[in-house]
Amino acid sequence: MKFVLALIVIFAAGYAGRSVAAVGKKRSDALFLLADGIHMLRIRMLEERLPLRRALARSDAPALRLVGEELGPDGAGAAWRRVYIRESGRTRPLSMLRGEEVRALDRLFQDLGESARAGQDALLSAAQTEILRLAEEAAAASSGKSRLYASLGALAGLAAAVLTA
Amino acid sequence: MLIEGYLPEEARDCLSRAEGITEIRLRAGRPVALCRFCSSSLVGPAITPEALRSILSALMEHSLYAYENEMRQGFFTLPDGSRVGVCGECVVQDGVMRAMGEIGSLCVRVAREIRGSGQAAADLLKRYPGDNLLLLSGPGMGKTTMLRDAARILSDGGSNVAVADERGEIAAARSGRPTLDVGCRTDVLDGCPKKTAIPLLVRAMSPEFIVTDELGGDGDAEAVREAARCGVRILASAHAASFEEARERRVTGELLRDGTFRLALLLGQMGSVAGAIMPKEQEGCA
Repeated sequence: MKFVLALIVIFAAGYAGRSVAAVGKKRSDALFLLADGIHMLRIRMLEERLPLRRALARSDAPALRLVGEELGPDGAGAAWRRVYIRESGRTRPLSMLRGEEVRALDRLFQDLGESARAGQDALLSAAQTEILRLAEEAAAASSGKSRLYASLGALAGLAAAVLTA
Repeated sequence: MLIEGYLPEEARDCLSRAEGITEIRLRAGRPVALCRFCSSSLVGPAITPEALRSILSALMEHSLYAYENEMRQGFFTLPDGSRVGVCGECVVQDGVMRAMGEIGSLCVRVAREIRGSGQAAADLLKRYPGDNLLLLSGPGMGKTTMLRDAARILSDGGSNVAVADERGEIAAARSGRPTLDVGCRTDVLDGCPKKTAIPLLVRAMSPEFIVTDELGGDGDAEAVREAARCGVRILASAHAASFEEARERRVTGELLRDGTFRLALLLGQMGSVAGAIMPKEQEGCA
């Protein structure tokens, strides 16, 4: 009986460790989705020539879609600032974004839609490259942390089982 | 009026009270000019260059990239059909205008729907079946307003009408659908050059009438002639302050001389008819 309980504690602690690490995976997935969203935004803006509001609102990435819905006469930069303040709290759609990503999006939205095709092409390319780099870094970090936290959890469970035996 | 929301407060108040405004002119460092047919007034404080740029950006829905081609022509059309002319510092490369740098002024030509203004044109087309009609006038005299209303009357009267709306001023289509009333049997091809749009409409939509504005570009005459040969009737407009001027112009002159247009109306102030050419006379009569 004690052996079974010890096994349950070890697996439960290992699972808890993996769950903590999954937050990092969710973050990297959200950043990959954002990078894909910027790629599609580029096509919608520069090839389909959709107006900015419609191009943004059709995106799957929450950061882009919410700015599209918020876009008013004061432009994308102001809309982004309002959206970020409203939607970056715990459990909100933009809670995954950290300092570097937010700064990259600040730069993107500040000039989004405000220049001709060549300027927008350069702006969107730079933002996509930057977000993709951050997504890859987040994925690498989350992969390492996933193994580490699962092992730490299992070890903690083992220790608890030994101590209580 | 879409522009109203972007103007300085004083100009906005004045505009909401004013009637018969045909143009709104915004110039950097100058007050807003509200123009009527015969007069204009300056209202509000001077507009800063930054404010002018912001107004332009907002009018373009913060989508300057989507208006690049229009900016090269010096104007674009708002969702309510009003046309915005843009003036400023041009970026020219190899003799071709590539972009507009600093913006100096905007001229908003207010689109109007005046029901009944196209009745004279529609009546002429009914009275002379088989003939095409050319509307002539100087700028700002109401050619497009008359075309739009004539298209509505013909369409609601039972004819299939196709609008070749190169500049988007007749129907002000958004997402392929007209925002101004051009009738319930009207198809609109928006933003396509007339020389391409007219043959395409003939082939694709089998219209009884094709309505188009501002004939004068390369290939326009041939496209109109070919559509007329196919049995489609044409209602078009062109810039000319008199019949003589129209005959001297390359495209309109050619089409009047070869009989493609045997009907023509010359518009005067506020869309009134100042003169007409009828099939039998072939001479201008005021």
